[in-house]
Amino acid sequence: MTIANLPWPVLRQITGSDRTGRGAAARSRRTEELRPRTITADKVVKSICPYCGVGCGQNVYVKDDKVIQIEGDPDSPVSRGRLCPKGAASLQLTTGESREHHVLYRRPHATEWERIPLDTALDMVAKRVVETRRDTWQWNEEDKRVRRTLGIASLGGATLDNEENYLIKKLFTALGIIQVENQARLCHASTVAGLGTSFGRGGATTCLQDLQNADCIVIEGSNFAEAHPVGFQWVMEAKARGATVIHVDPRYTRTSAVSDVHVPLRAGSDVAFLGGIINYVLSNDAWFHDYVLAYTNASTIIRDDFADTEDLDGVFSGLSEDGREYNTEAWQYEGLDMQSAAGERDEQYKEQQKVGQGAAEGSGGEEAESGGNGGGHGNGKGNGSRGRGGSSHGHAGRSESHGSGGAAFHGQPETDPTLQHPRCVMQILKRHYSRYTPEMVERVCGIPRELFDLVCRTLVRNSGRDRTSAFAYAVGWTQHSDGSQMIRTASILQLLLGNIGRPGGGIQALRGHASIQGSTDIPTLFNLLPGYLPMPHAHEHEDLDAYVKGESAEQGFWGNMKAYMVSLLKAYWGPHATAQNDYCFDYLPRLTGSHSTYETVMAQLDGVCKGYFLLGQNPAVGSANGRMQRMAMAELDWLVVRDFSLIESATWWKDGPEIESGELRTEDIATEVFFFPAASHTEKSGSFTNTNRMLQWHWMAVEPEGDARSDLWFMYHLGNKIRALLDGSQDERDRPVLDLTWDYPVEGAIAEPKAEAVLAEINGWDAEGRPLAAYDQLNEDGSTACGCWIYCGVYADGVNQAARRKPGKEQNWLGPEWCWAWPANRRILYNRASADPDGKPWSERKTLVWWDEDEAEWTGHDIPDFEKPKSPHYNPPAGATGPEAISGTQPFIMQGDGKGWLYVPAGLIDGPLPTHYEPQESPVANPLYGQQRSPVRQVYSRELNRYQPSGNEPGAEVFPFVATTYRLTEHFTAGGMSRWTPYLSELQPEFFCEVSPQLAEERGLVHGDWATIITARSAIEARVLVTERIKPLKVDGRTLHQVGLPFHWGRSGLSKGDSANDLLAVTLDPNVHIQEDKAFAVDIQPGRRPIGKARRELVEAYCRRAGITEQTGMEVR
Amino acid sequence: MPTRESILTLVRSGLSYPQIGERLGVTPGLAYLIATGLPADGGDAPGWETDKRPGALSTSTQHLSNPKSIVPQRDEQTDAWIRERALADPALRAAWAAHGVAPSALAEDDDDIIDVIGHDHGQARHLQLQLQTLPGASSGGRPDDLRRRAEAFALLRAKLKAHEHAEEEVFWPLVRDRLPKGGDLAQRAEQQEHEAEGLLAQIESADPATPEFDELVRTLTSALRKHVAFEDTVLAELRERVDEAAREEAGRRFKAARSANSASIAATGKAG
Repeated sequence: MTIANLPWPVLRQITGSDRTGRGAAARSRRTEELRPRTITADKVVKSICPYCGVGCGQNVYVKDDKVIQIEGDPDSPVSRGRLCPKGAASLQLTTGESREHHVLYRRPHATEWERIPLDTALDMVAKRVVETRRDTWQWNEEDKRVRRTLGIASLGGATLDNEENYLIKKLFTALGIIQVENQARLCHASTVAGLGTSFGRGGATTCLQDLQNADCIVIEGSNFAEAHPVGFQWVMEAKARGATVIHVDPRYTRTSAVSDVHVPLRAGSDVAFLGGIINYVLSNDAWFHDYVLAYTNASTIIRDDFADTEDLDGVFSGLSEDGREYNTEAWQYEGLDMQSAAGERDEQYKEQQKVGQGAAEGSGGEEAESGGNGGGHGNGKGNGSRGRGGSSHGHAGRSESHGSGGAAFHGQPETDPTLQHPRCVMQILKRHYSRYTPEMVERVCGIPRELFDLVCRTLVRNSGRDRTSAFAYAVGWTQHSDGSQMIRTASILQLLLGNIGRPGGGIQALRGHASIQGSTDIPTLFNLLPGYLPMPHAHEHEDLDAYVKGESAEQGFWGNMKAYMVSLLKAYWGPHATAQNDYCFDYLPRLTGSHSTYETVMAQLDGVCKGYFLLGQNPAVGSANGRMQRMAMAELDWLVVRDFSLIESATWWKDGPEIESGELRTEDIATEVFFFPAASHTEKSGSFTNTNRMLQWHWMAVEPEGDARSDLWFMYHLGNKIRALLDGSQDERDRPVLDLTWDYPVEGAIAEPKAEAVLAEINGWDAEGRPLAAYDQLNEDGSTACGCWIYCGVYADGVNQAARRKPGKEQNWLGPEWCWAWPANRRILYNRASADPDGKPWSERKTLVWWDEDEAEWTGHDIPDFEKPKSPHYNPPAGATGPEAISGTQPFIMQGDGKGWLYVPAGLIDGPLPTHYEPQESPVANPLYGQQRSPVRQVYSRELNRYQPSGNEPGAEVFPFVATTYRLTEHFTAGGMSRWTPYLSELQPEFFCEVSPQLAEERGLVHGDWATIITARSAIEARVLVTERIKPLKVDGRTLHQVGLPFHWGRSGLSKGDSANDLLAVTLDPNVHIQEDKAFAVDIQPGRRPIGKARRELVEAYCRRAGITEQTGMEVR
Repeated sequence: MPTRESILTLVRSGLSYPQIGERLGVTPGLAYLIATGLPADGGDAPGWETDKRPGALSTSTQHLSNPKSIVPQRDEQTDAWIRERALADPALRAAWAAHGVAPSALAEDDDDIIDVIGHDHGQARHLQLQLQTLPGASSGGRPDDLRRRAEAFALLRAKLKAHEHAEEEVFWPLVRDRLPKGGDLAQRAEQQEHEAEGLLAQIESADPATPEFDELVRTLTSALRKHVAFEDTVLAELRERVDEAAREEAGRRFKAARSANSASIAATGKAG
């Protein structure tokens, strides 16, 4: 008899060895008999958490083909076994009762769902695609061939696997559908432009684990601890090693609580703050001279017709007559021809004006019968000033094509290594930031001088030869009308301080979704093809050579772009792509302007876009101006929603806010809605690309139940059905679909396509059918196929490298054999810069890679982000092109000049240097310049999208407070993966707003009671959280209050509430079309909002009081 | 229940945790927990430094308490499908058949000896890259790969010979003449070139279908890499110390010497 079996604890205590009764003696039999659930499992299937971009490893415990438990995988070098509340609740997410398992169908005008079989539904969707495509087909736009349809669009979530995104883009592109978009647009599009133009690649320059080597970490525009909790352990690790942690944020959060310094600032003033630090660094001569001189474009000379904001009171030279766009020519390097971001001016977004004239204007007579279609469909709603809206500046966001390759570049720029030339970048930089003084920072941001000084001193002290500092940011920077420029400001600062490419340095762009990095690498974005190859433009890219000439760089790795493009075309169209037909380059649909998700929504309102796929995305809650989103969906002919549960975007026609308010009536809505239940991450294999640019494979643990299917399955079988419908067609229009390589092997009872095969196609192969090992094996003569050149190598040697699982404990901190990171498994980008120009580490304390004299190659802890045998003394011979043109001392190998760009001469369309502009809606008049806002921001005057007055304009006082939206630990974006999960809903049950005690007093807001928050778009209600965490600031001499709003809620799910995004107008960053939702102006009143018609009346009364018209907020200034 | 000491004694005696667990009648994971205080499944994610505890393993321990994990990284069906896709693409195969190993033509308009040598190096690098990526006999290369490897090697050999001759005639004398310690530099280079020549001869007589060929090629690539890196430093110094006119004059002589040499190599029929 063992001790535990003795009946009385006291008996066990006196007879056993545990005399004090604090151990085994006190244990009950029940405890003794408890066994972990995991012990009964048959197997553990390795997986990756589907929530944020940290990409924690998961162990999925399976018994009898059921998932019985999900825990953290301690082998992961990133997460080390930890999971946050969301990850820990993923068992409930995947196996809980909230998931739908039946296909549902809503007939036009119906008031309820009905069940239909999966196969029938898929047949119906295939037919809708074929018909809508035929009816809206467009061969030409004016006289330029476009080969496309604007009648169909898609918007995907960023929890799609890379393989799923690949099939979505491939099938839709072949169908001529260009409005293919993704959450990545809404989250981090500006990261791609900001980091891409600065360094050559649009991904985080470092990996999470390396944060532990930092001596100082500045977290700004991110609530790291709450939004990426498991990644935050590396900040804590750094802190434990003595690093100083600085948190800059309007709110005091759990991140601030464990930081050494919290710096509250006014939402939207980050460029002024960082510009102030740049000024401090330059004027105190605190920049890392050797690094800056060797590795940045500080010495490069700019054209003499360039004029800075200093000369023109807040704008740069080249502003067009109407003030809506820049001619960027004068921003360029002296004596050099560069491809500007917008290229030749894009054709304007004329589709809007075509409503009622029929969208089809084909060259072929066979299109004639559809000519009248669309007439009478466009209705008057919300397009009162059509033609003004987006038509004035519809660039296609080419800045994002710098996600892995700098601006096109020809020749050698002139430089002045003494940095004295008045037009060299260093001097321009000094002048530009000279007015960003501590006094000005205080006026603009509300940051007291001593605090600002402390940040400057700390950062400078922890940067240089022996010390490094890192920056981490998230959507607090990206989601602004000048989001790209916020990231640019940090890039400039990190270059000046010598912190890029070095251990403990870099910029971590914290991605908030499992594969948001992947969704831009293998983009479901309208303007990109896989690997950041730009989508061709109608008027510029008539053939492949014109495309390559226009888009590639002669120097650096972007110089091999033709090989990447031809290999992609070979992957898409296989045997049909030959040298004789330009490798089917003509099969690609053409852009004529911007078709971002917001512009697509307007095209839906205007009746141009008639069919819409939502693939794991909930724009009714998650996109700016939710009301416009829902009103636009009500104009669709058909809508396909794929998700776990009946999210708001699936049910707006029966229970949306506009039904409640009477603006829409269910019976009047003609939209046909298909709901397809989706498979979870445990029910499919595939790879997510996390915030480290690391592809991590997850294996299918069990097959999905009922009608639930992966998007891989959905796209593949939808493609098969569409191809069957078009089979035998002799129409040239259908050739790209019928010639598409679409033959993936399937497995299991549900015929799931093999994700490994799709990954293998992404990786590419040679003519013998051998997987390629690296992108330098790609050829431009059609002898290789590769679906995404930057992922080439992920299937090297026929091994799924993303599936490697060597435990983090058994390798160095970068975990090189844990999964696979692009490019070429390098974990810290530009790491050539960790060594001095001669190839020796700058400091023993900060070694990463170095030149090994004896072996004559680069070596070190990471894989060198540099050609291994290229010596530090290599100088390109005259006329060298491609990689050969990059010298042995140029770490930024994707840039034409191999340099980090302090000043961006080409690639951005709103300025070569970040400049502080106020948000579109701000109660503050810009203290820095006469120019209030970015002149080239994208604004849309529509009835559904009214703007408020700003600054000193009359009526601005009606919306006196600054609001910002944010995320909570326990919820996930638009709630589709959290508000239906009982644990998570219990943890954060209700929508609330955060206000300071001072504001509460001023407005009579009571803690725990209700408040109504009002803008020109909507009025929403929230519980009031009165807290010291959100402090009133002294801005430009007056007290300014801020309101914090978590944005997760909608009207469905277990935890319901109003949507903060309904408050927003659509205002976009012109580079990448990301919405501004992190800083806007509101009013707040105590009490609940009115319901029914009275809700609109309240909003309209506010608009009248503020004097809002269709002109408000549209001014260039 | 076993004690910490009893388990650590067994650990010291060289037994593994599964063996200890079996001997003591507990699960291996529990044995590990008792010995180290660390849950083998990583349940409390304690960080690396705890590895220093007695009995703690520096490797992953979750296999001690978890059932077998599934991490397949190869898939035969996919391998077969890739081959099928490639074989079903005649255009791909035709393009590959026409894809030569030769580098693109030399830019002849630059006279500066630094550029001339730099371009030569670029061509050699291109050929070396072919030799590195085309699988040889030892890594499953097919007859077509072996043929290309032989072709790439022959080209490389011809280029190197012409290049080295020209360097001996023009470049190293210039270095000897104009750079401090130029004599030492030239001597070192000549030694490297001598070694390379030996290797070239060995490879020439080796059969491309043998692992020996691959090994020799690897040695050659490594030697060339070191030689080029060395020359990079010499060229950098030359750029500083020799004026452009002299460099251009030398460049023209270098080109003449190179073509004379390559003509003579071609005439002797060795350029395969």
